[in-house]
Amino acid sequence: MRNLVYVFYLFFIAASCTKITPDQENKIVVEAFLFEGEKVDDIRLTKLLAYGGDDTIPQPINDAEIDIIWQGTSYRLENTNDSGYYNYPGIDLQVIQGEIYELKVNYNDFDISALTICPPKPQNVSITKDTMKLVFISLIDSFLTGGNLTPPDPDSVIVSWPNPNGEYFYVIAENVDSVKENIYPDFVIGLLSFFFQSQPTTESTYTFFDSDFTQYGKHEIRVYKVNQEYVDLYTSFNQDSRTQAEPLTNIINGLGVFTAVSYETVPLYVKKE
Amino acid sequence: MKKLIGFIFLFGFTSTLFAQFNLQGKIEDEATGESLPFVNVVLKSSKKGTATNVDGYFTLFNLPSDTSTILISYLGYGLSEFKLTPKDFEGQRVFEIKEQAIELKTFEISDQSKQTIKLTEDASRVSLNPAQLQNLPNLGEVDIFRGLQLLPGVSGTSESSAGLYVRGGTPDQNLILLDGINIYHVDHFFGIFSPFNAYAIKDVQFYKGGFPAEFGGRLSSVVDLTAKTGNAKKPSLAINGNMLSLNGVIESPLPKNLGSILIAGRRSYTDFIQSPTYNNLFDNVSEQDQDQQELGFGIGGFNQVEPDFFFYDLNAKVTLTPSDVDVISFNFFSSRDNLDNTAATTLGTFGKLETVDKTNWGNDGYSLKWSRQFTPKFYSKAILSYSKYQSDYELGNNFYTTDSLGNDSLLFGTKTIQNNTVEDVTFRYDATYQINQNHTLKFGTWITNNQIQYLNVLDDSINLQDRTEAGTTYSFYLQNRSEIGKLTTEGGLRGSYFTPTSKIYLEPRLSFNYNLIKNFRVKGAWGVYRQFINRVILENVFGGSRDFWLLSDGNTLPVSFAQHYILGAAYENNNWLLDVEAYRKNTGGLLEYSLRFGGFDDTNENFDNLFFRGTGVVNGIDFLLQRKVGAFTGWIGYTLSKVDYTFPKINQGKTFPALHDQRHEAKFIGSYTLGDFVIASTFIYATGKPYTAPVGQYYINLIDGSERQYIHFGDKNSQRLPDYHRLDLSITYNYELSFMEGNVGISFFNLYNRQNIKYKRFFLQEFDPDTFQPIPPEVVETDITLLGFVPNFFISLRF
Repeated sequence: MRNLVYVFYLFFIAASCTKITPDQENKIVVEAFLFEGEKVDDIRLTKLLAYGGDDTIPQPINDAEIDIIWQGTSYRLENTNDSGYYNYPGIDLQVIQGEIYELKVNYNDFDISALTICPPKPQNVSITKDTMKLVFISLIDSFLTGGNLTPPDPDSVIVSWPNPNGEYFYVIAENVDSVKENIYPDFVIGLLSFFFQSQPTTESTYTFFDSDFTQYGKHEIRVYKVNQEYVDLYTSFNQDSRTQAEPLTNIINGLGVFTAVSYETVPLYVKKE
Repeated sequence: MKKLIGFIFLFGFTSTLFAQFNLQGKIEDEATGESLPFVNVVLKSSKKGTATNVDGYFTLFNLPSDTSTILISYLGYGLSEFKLTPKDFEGQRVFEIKEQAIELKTFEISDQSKQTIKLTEDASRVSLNPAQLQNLPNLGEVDIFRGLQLLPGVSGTSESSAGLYVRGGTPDQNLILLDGINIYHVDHFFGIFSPFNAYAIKDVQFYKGGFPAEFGGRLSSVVDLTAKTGNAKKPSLAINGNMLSLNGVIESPLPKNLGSILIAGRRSYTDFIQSPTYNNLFDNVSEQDQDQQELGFGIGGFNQVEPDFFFYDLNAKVTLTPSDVDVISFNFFSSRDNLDNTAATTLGTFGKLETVDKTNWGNDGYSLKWSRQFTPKFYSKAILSYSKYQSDYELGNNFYTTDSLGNDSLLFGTKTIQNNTVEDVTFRYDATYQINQNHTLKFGTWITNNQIQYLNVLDDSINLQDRTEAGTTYSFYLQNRSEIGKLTTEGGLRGSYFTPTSKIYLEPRLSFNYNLIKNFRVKGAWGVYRQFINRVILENVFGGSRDFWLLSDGNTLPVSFAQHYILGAAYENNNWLLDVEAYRKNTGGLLEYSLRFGGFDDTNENFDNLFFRGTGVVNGIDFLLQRKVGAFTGWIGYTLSKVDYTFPKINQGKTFPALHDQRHEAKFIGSYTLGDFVIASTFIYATGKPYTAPVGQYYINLIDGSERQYIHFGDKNSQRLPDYHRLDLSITYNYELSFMEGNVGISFFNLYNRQNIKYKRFFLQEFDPDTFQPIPPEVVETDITLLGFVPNFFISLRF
């Protein structure tokens, strides 16, 4: 009987104990992108903007020790300014498709790490035509059409790439002209907030319409091959206040993303009709 | 495994004794002729005995003489004594007992006429008397499941669901049987009570864990409900009313003593008259729904309308007794909840915008049972049952243009649909062979075919889920109950073949009860349990009707698993019971579903990735102190428990407390009889349930140069809500006139209007509301509360 009481007592004690949780407010946010064939210069560390604190913007971390491990060799990154960005000044750290890269960060004796693999470059990227002709919509036109900004003869181009396995790709268009001319009056752009933004896709085509562009000029269409960890950034957009899902991350003991991407480009000229 | 199975059966069988006088009988209610299940029948001189089966039959072996005296006790009935005569041993003898207590204070068997619950000798098994529930405070309706929530080991703080959280389990892990019909959803009126009409149920057997091999398919507990067969002696009518609904029960014998019939129906009048009780209850759930809409989970709130809501349930049972040993019954059950929250707004002369918001859910079931007491030793029953749970939810917007004549024509519309249908066809055969007074062998088979459809379409275009599933479970079991001296043991094995996985699953079970010294016994149970169908929880305050069931496939949806370990002790005399049970439950194949999808390329995303699998561990101990007789009866229950989950892809793989984890829960239930008045009160105190709180936010610049904001939550469920407590009170006056009897009373839920918190709502404030200047972001918390003070009036008339 005494033993039975002792067992119950032990059970009581065990059930009453609670674990000490780590300090969540000091989590480090990693924003680290490796671009195939380019220098490593897009690594940023910031602090979490903790609720109830004094900060209104996230504070950069400029005194962390950051290493990229590639093929068994460690490459120490340097902090070049006070905005939390780090780069590797040498040329011996190369971002090559198919290679695995490890990120290691030490900050205030707190270690975080992450792994990524550089995906293969998209192949055989094609575009249905290299020029789109758009109608300039003047201030007067805008008033006359009662705000209807749809061109009378809409145009489009289709960008294609092989994707037999349904992998993730990501497409953007960037105006690379030195002089940029707006298609719409400035105040309309300001009011309607035109903003082209694609999202990761498992399709093998992407269609650009007139409305995706706000400027004339030479554009570079970039088709990125992206990893799951980059896609996860998008799946975390709709955080539900009831389920309170934590954003997905591949950073161990931290937040954010460490990922490698590779891309291919095709030119597109956006011209006046 | 073979050794284990061999041990289980050796554990049960021992030596055999041969009877001199064997009594075969049946127990019935004296007033109605209703057969009474699970009644204790014991020999007065030795207190050795047996219990009736579900049809009221029993066989008592080895009576020392044909003039022995037996005692019969049953929950809600007085203790009865019968002096046997040699004639009683000629064939089957019917014993009639009545609810009024007889003064038999000298015996070591207590009068159970005032008891609401009775702990059986088996570990974790409780009998509940539905008739006594009407004396306890209620939330508008007398409810069996709310009664079960007053037991230790069952959460009594889940006001928004009638579902049972039993020893760390979730409501979908409970096997709910109504005359053999498998019921899949028990939330009626937004979960405030269950769909089972307490006036149509005569017996409830509740297994909190460690249940025997004859039950399977669920991980946590069993609620075995037996409906009344109806008055077999004379027609009777009962009408019950309260501030939500009207309830009628008609019972009648069939012509030529063929049997009896019972029809019970309950319907709310909430779509015609909104009583203060209804408004109180509805306002609470609609406040939560409004909160959900404000957070962007729905559309609405722009045009306030009175929602159209009603619920009903119907029980019917026809019982035929073609012979003394045959019982054939047909049982029908239907329950439905219907909420129409549709609203329309006129858009000037252009037309109108209609927001459709309809929710409809319910159960339908039928069963046909044939049971026969073939010989005094052999009884069997066969049940063919059909059960259907259906839940339809529609939320949409329709834009109409209006012509000069005022006619509307639909311009365009979008809608979101969540429909789930679960169909269950079960054939069940259970046989009991009473080898002798020491050994009872049970064996049988359950064959269940499930058909499930689940459709979840967003805005007419995104098929989140479109599943049609079918599967059959073939189960067989064999168990032996052995009573040798002070030791009672039960060992069994259940084997199931599940067609979607094409695998066989074995579930051994063991339990024991040992009377160590007078009035003191120790008990225990161990068992393996499997579940082949999962209910996926989608947070929704309106009745949980957006939860959905899916069959296991062995991959994305695993066959879930549990192992129970129970060890306890009980001290019981005529007046008091002190019961303690410690338990551990290891579970695997737990499922969580997260709608964490983005706006990209939705048609191509593999939504099976939204399912997360994990394991759980429950440790707990239940205490029960019960006062069984006298003017003041009741019990104190206390539970200390811990429920931990581990999901490799949630919370970075770290163990976290389950959402229903509650460390301490104490319940005080008391009932005082003063003449024709019964004053009853319940008080519940529980420590807070866990929740997850946001800690901060961060930003990531994406490849296209855009910046995205993310909210970082702390460790999952690492914070605790404030403690929960609530006092309920009821006063019932029982009356009896020459032509009728009944009761009338008033009940107060949450008497001191405690503002218990259901969950917290978070709002991120980044600008000063007065100056609109940026400020350090801070989280503003809003407490969404549970029910406040709710009064209710009720009356019952029985003719």
